[in-house]
Amino acid sequence: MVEASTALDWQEVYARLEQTRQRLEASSALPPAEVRRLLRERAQALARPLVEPPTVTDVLDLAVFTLAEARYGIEAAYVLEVTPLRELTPVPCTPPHILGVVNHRGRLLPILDLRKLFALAARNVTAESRIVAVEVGGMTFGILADAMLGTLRVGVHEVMPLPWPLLHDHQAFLQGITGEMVAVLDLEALAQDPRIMVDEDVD
Amino acid sequence: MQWTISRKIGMGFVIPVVILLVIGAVAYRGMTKLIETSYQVAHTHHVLQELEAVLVTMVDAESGERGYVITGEEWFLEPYQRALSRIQEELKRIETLMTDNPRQQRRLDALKPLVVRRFDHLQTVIETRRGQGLSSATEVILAGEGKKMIDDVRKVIAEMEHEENALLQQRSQLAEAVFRNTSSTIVVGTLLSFVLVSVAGFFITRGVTSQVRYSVNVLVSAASEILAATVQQAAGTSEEATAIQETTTTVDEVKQTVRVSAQQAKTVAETAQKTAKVAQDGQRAVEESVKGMQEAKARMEALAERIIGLSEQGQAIGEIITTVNELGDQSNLLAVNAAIEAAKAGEAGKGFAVVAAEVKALAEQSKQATTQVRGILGEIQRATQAAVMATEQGVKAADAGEKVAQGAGESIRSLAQSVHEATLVAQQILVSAQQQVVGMDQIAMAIQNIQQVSTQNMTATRQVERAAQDLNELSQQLQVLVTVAGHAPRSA
Repeated sequence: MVEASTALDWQEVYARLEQTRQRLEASSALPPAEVRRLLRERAQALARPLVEPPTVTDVLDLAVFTLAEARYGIEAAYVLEVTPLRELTPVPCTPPHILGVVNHRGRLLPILDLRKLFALAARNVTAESRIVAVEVGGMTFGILADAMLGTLRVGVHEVMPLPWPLLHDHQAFLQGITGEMVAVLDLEALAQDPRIMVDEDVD
Repeated sequence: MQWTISRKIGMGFVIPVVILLVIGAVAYRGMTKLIETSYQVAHTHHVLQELEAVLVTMVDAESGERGYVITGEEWFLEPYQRALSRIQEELKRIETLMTDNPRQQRRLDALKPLVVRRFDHLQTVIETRRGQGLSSATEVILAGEGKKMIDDVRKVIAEMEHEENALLQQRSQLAEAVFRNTSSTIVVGTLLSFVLVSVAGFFITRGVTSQVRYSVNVLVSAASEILAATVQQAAGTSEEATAIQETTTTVDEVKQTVRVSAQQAKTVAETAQKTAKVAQDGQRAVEESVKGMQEAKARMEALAERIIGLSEQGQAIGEIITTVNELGDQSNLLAVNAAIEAAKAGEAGKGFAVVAAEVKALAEQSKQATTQVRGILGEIQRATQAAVMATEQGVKAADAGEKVAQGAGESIRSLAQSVHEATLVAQQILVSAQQQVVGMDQIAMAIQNIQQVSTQNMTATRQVERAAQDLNELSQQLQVLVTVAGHAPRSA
């Protein structure tokens, strides 16, 4: 037989249940003072020590995302919007680095898979996957990112050239790398790459 | 051949008696024969006398006839007359005497006509004398017929006398032989019987004495053995008395034990009844426990259902959390876009960038919170699973408990059965113990009887012992007697 749980204190159990109930009720309706306290705490936690803002001309705002365990940055100026990957429609007769098209605010937006382009390990689309819609030289397309990290402001001088030659030839599309190890994409170069152009004959 | 003493003695007497009888018989027979022979001798003498008488009578008749012839005087005829009257009588007497001898009878038969003729002739001569005178008569006589007749008569009588004489001689010889035989038989028989009696006496004495001595020896040893045996028996009898005493004690003890065991059987029966009651209570308790187990099982099953309900509600929470997570994601994205817009706006969007960062932080916090909630939900899920498993185990345990309780019930039932049987057995033991007590009383009584008999036996044994002693002494005395009487003491 199962060993009788040594004298379960039912009164204590009931007391604990009551406490839980009270706590649940309390959390659903926090008093204003508590709310203020919480917010203050969060604000203090979030408050960062003010750093001397570099001169406007020298700064570079980057939208940072991850792709195949590496971080990449795109200049915010090119970015139209970051959206979740929804309703992707594969397009026949396109090269493999063109995943397909999505409807982006009424416009047809082709999605570029840099993994394929950079010959990185393939990975399935997840809930974290994002589309970074960009506009470069009148051309609009979406770049598939594994996850979005946020924005990062770095000085232009902070962007270093790549310290070692990459195994693959995609360094042509990189401006350099920041101190935070964020590879900055050269969208102008990317946009001018003939592979971006879809011009295939279909028999 | 082993002959008994009496037979030996009997034989010792019988042989001489037989010999004496034989002697007596022989003597008697000899005497009889002698008497008979002497009688016959007398008879022969008598016959001879008679024959002589006949001859005399004949001569008388002749002499009378002659006288008359010569003289013619009648009175001379008187001898003739007398002879005439006598001759028949005499002849008859002879005939009577000769009835036992056929030869003589034949001779007599021959004699009789001769005599008659002679007398006829005499008559004729006499008549002739009387009638014709002397000369005629002389002539008749001279014819010689008469003489011839008398000669014949004489001849026959002589033959007869000869015969009788021969008989006489024969008979006297016979008498002599008989006498000799008888006397020799008497002498020899007497001697023989004397010898036989002496021999028999010797052998009987010897045989009887040795047998008696042997018997006496045997008797002595037997008497001493009897004495020893009797002594032993006396000892045995006293041991027996002791044993009987011990047996009586033992029977008393056994009786005591039986009483104790009867008491114990009674106690056992009472205890068994109590136990039966306890078993009944136990059975009821087991039934209640089975019922309780079943109830506990039902409760636990209900509990499991409740827990599953809770788990499902947790799942609902999880769904809500997913929604919240999505909201967080969207907020995050919104914040990123806002930050990008702020960056595009340059200095003008600086304040907006701060708000965007705040929003992003909140979104991340809410995401973290949802992760935590998800973790908690996972824990709840695990706990629920554990609780359900525990409940299942509880149900199984309750099942097992029920089975165990039912087994216990079964055991208690069989125990009750056994106790019931034990009660019966105890009652039987009680009854048999009472019977045993009765039996023991009977045994005690029997032992008392045995004791009495044993006491009598002891008395009898003492008497026997005394008798054996007497016998022993007697046999020893007898031995002494025999030893003195016998040739030499061969054995003790």
